[in-house]
Amino acid sequence: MEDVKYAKVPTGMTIDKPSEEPQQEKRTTKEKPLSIKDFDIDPGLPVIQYPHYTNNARSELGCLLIRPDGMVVQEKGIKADKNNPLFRDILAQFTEAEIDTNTKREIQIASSRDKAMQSIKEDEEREKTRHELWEVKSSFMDLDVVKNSDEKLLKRQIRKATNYFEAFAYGVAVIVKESEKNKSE
Amino acid sequence: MNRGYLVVATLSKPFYDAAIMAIESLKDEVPNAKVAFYTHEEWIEDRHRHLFDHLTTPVPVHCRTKLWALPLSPFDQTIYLDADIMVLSDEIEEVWDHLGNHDVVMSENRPYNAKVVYFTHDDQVGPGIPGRELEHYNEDHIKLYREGKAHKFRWHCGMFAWNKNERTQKLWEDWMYWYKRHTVEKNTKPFPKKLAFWDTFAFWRALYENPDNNVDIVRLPNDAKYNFVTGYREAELRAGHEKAVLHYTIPPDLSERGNLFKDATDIDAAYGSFKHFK
Repeated sequence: MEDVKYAKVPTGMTIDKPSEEPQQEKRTTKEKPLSIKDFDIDPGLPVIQYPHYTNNARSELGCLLIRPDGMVVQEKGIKADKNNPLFRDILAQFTEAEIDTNTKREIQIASSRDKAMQSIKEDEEREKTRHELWEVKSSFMDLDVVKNSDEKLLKRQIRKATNYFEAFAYGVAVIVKESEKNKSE
Repeated sequence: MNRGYLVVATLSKPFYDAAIMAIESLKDEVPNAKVAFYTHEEWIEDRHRHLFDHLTTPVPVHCRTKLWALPLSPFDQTIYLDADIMVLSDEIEEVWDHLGNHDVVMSENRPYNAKVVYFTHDDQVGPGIPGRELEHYNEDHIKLYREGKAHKFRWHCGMFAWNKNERTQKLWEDWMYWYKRHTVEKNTKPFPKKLAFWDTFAFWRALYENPDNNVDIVRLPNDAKYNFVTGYREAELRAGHEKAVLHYTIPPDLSERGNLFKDATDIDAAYGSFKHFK
């Protein structure tokens, strides 16, 4: 055992006890990992992945099946019936919590996809409307009867129109006015 | 002093059709308006020739041929109009009064109606942070702009008026220089690459890089009246005023189909080429 050595501190000097080093904040997570069932598999059968419910009644499921040759098949309409061998295998390999998590993820994917598709659809519809408006305005404005008409206000309304029917109606109005003028001449 | 309107329609045929409608609308509302038109000879129909007071062909087959045409304006005072506009009243002529002795009068971009307005350059927000486009609806992005850590495309380049002088001729030259630097040399550094397509970016840069040019450029009062872009809120118009110019957008599928370079393998059809004249 080593001898303990002491040193005398000069008068008037103090040595502060070093403050304790801050403990590293422990990483905490509220979400606990899902537990995994202990199970055996038959190597000749496809591996089941990502089972999830596909209806609110939880009477049907879907999953991915990875075949031994690597081919992946999407399986749908699996009856939640213990007489169904695939459902039995799912229950043997996955906890209800795992299936629920997959189902929630599937709902989130579907909802995000719907949102994206809605946005694409809106863009397409806006473009279609713009296209139709352009077509009707340019078609009327290219007609000699409209081009040569002095119905300035009506022609302005065609140009100003913000939808197909408005442009169409003012286009027809110019033609009617011009035709009335021709009759009276 | 002579004054007139400058319209350009190039690269894609629907722009010619749109320009004809635009000029017809102008001449319906302002019958004595003078028009300088820049387009491709092969598109011109004889029945349209009476609409043009000055016709220039051949011109570069490019989507921004306007940058080439601006310094060539035959007028002392010019109003540039995009092809995809409709003149709705003779009050467009008020723009001449607003121009007065200023070098340029323009309308401002509305961030809520523009694809890109705010952006940063490399290292502007912090060391190592690359420049990027910002979103007008993102509070954090707007905060950057307010703190002077982002830029803004202030001016809308689809309708403006100018007095021809040394400063404006230099401005058009600079605009073309920066546009080519961004799109032909493909060098936008230190700004984001994605901005290259926009002529508003090259215009912003021409002003940003040449503060000594001292261009007297001001905003048109009640600017939405003279350049009411589809998507603007009606409230943009001051009470008692009507739109004098409606600015719509040609449907992209039409302009793609009518593109002269749509089948070209060596030219980017989206831009065209300043070297090819038609």
